[in-house]
Amino acid sequence: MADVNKRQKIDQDSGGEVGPLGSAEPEIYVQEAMPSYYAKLFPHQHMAKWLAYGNDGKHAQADSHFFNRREFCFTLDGDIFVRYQAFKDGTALQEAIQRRCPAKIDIGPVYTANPQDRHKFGASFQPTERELVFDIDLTDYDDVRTCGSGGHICGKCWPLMAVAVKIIDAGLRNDFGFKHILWVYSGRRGVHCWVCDPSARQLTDEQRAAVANWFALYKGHEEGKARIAFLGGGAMHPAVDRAVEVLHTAWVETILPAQRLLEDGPKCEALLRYLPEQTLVENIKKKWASRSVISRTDQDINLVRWGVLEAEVNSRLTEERSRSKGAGSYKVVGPLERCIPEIIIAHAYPRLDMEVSKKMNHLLKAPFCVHPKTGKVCVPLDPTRVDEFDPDDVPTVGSLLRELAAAKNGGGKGDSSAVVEADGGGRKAEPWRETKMANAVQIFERCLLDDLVITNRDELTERTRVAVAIGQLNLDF
Amino acid sequence: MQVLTSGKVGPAGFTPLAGAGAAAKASKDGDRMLTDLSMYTYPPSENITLEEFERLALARLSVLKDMEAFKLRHPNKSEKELMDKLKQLKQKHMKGLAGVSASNHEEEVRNDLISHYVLRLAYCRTAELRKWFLAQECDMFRLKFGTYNPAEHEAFLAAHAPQYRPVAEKELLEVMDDIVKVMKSNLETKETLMRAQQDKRFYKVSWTRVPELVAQRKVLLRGGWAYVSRDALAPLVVAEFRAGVSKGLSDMARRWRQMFPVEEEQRLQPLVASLTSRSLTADYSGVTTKYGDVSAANLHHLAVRHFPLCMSHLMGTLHSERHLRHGGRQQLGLFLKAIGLPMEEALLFWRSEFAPRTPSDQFDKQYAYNIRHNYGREGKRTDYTAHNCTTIVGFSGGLGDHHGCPYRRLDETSLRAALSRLHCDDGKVEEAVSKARDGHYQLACAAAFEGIHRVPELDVGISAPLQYYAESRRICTERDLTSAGTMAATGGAAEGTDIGEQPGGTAGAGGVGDQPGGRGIKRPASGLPGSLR
Repeated sequence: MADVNKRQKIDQDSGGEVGPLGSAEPEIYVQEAMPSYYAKLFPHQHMAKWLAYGNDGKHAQADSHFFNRREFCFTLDGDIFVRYQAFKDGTALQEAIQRRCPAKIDIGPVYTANPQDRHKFGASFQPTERELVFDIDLTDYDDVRTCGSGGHICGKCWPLMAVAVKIIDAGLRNDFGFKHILWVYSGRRGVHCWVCDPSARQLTDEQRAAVANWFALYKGHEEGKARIAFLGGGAMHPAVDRAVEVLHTAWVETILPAQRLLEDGPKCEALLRYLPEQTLVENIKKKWASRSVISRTDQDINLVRWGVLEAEVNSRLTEERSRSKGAGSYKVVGPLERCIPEIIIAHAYPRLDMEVSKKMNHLLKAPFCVHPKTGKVCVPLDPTRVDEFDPDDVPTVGSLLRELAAAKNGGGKGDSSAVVEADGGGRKAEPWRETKMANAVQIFERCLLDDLVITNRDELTERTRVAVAIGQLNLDF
Repeated sequence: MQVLTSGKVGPAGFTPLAGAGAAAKASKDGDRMLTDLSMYTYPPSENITLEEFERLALARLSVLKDMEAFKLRHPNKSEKELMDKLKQLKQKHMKGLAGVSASNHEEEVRNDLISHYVLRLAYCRTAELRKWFLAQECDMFRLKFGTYNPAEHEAFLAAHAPQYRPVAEKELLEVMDDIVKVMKSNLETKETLMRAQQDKRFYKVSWTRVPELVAQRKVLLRGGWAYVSRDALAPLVVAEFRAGVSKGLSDMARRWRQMFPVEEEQRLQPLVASLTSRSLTADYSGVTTKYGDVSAANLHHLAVRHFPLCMSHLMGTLHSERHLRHGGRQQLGLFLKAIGLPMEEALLFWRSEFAPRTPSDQFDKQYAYNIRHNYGREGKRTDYTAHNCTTIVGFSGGLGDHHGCPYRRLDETSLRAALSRLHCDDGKVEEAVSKARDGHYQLACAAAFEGIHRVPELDVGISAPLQYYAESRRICTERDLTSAGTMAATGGAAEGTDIGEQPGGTAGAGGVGDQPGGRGIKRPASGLPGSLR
């Protein structure tokens, strides 16, 4: 009973915000479209296949109650939260979604028992499994973006998300060895990441916090500057090094010119504060004002100015180093060496929402949900093509329904039956395949599901092997 | 409705590339036993006699407790000295248990494992016990692990902690640069850097085992493996040991009921429960026979010279107030019984002490029965034993109560006064007071003992007032004999020249201690009475 009215932290921003022309719909329309969306567009089978993790088959080691122990949270129209929803299998989940048409679906952990029976177990009702998740939100970058703030997102600030995806994706794969990583557009102004490896799902809260901290460099603001958590004792951690390399490219290619951070204004002043010497700042400003710089037309002014800044810092470094036998006084050289990476990191390094990642029981919005304010679908992203993603061109529930109608009218292939058969019948009975949803689902398959299926099979085989071994050794646990 | 029991596969079982499954681990039995350091992951599985069960447990407990006392009294010993002490204690308590005098390595390992697990049983029930046991075991582990050389480390890890894999040379070449960068970025000193580069022994472990290092970016990560230097390894291994034992303890506590099937309730369970409160020192029942001269008359004399502070304090209060409350009467009364005061003497003593305030018939009515009960002559006729230090320290009392441990109860001024009344050496008084302040009451008592009797360090700690008394009497008797012996020797040959006869010194009580004066002079030394000594 308490669940219905339990409030989770809702993002409070100016309601009824309309994005760039046409790509967002008024809230009321979105909610009305949900029944059709869930009936014809939402990829129920794929979601069920994902979340079953191989336990939905007839394998002897398959845990037939696994799916039932997963918590779902529905947000119904009118901001009514209904937690601890659980379903026997994908079909039951689909029925419930189609019946209740939630405005938002959150996915929680897999518990020790069916969440609906939790009161019977008291303290022994605990989460046992849960994907490792990350949430990156452009609102956290408001201090370093000039194109907008709050729920705003556009092609100029999307590069910040893109570079975050690239860095974290590379880190998860190379440093931690994870393989099954799904990136999802969060529907308005950020991205979510779901790490679905079996080892990732079993991580404790402490280990999740460790991963989040591994990626955390930005530790809040201090005196108008971001505090970067690296000690910089003459070298940076190799992982940070690699990240800075990726950042530097993105910085120069897209972020800096797009955000116009070095054009005169408060952001530029803030940036200059990272330089350790006042004389350095003055020299740079003087050079910026010089004729040769102003008259340049071949390059964006921000890049020109940045080039000057880098050159000045480097020449100062050389000067300082040659002072005393090539090394220079560390107290002076250190900050000079660090300031450029610091600037780039402070302005562009991924800023994770730590709270989301740390706890096993944190609820996170499911992929393929529709954002109630914008109507945009939370589509999966391909991390190798993240630069090409256009947040303004994301399919919305409206655009998809229009596509469906067009396909139906256009005669097209197969019957125009609007009902999706429970187990997906023939491909022709899945109308969403005629729309942009197909692309999204394809990404979902390519980035996550295809490989996951193989891993699931391996898992089951391993379980069999262990069971046999235990049986052979006659150990009783 | 299905429930997953708590046997979930935790991350520890999930080192993704660990390779060794549960089946493989069990088969490593043989290798496991060969190193004398263990993580105690697998309990022993054999049958042993109840006697051995108890003996092994008490032996290990003695080692742990003596080690603790040693460390408390000598806080600045080096690792080597501590290790030597540990070896000595093990030699003293745990060798020769199975009757095998030769140091049989397998026996040692077996005894080590069994004794550890029995003590786990005994010390798992309350948080306080668990904390103590865990602390002692971890200290011991850390000490032993720290003294291993690289080759031994590797052997140990291979056998007991295979999750720490040595990094092959070829791989090390690839990652060395990055490792150095990691160390620099963590502001490691030049020495540490150089040591790591020269030592060239690195280990890799699944990152899930070192989350605290990952969180601070203190390690290099590649494909889920964290690379750690050999130096950095020790705290990790100790932490794992600690976690393992701690978990084992809480698991045991939770499953306590299942540990003991019904038939064991009368046999094993009381034994295990008693282990924690057992006095570890020898049984002092022989005291009464050795020093059988205790009577009401010389009690006060004995009290001043031989009683520990708790008892002499009670005696003093009894004498000045002519009364003691129940707690005090019990504590003192049982002690007096233990040192050999016969019941009739006891009745006499108590009656005379109480006499000015309590008329005789009232005494009979109110107190005599209790005294007789203590001696087992009334009611269910139990032979009550005297309390040991642990119990006495635990006594609580209100205003007007004088029982309990004075090192705990009395404030510093009274403590100092009481000790000086007993002619305790000043330096030792201070030591005792400071030990008492820190809560080490038994050590304080030991310090007082040393101060009163002017002996150098007491090797064994005080664990019961009876022990204090026995030791005290022993030392004094020895001293008497020594001085008597000297006197006898100088007192002329009249006493000892008979052939074959043992010249006794002054009538020493029984045949206790050395008899330096009793030299068997077989032949009368020609003319010399032996006075020239």
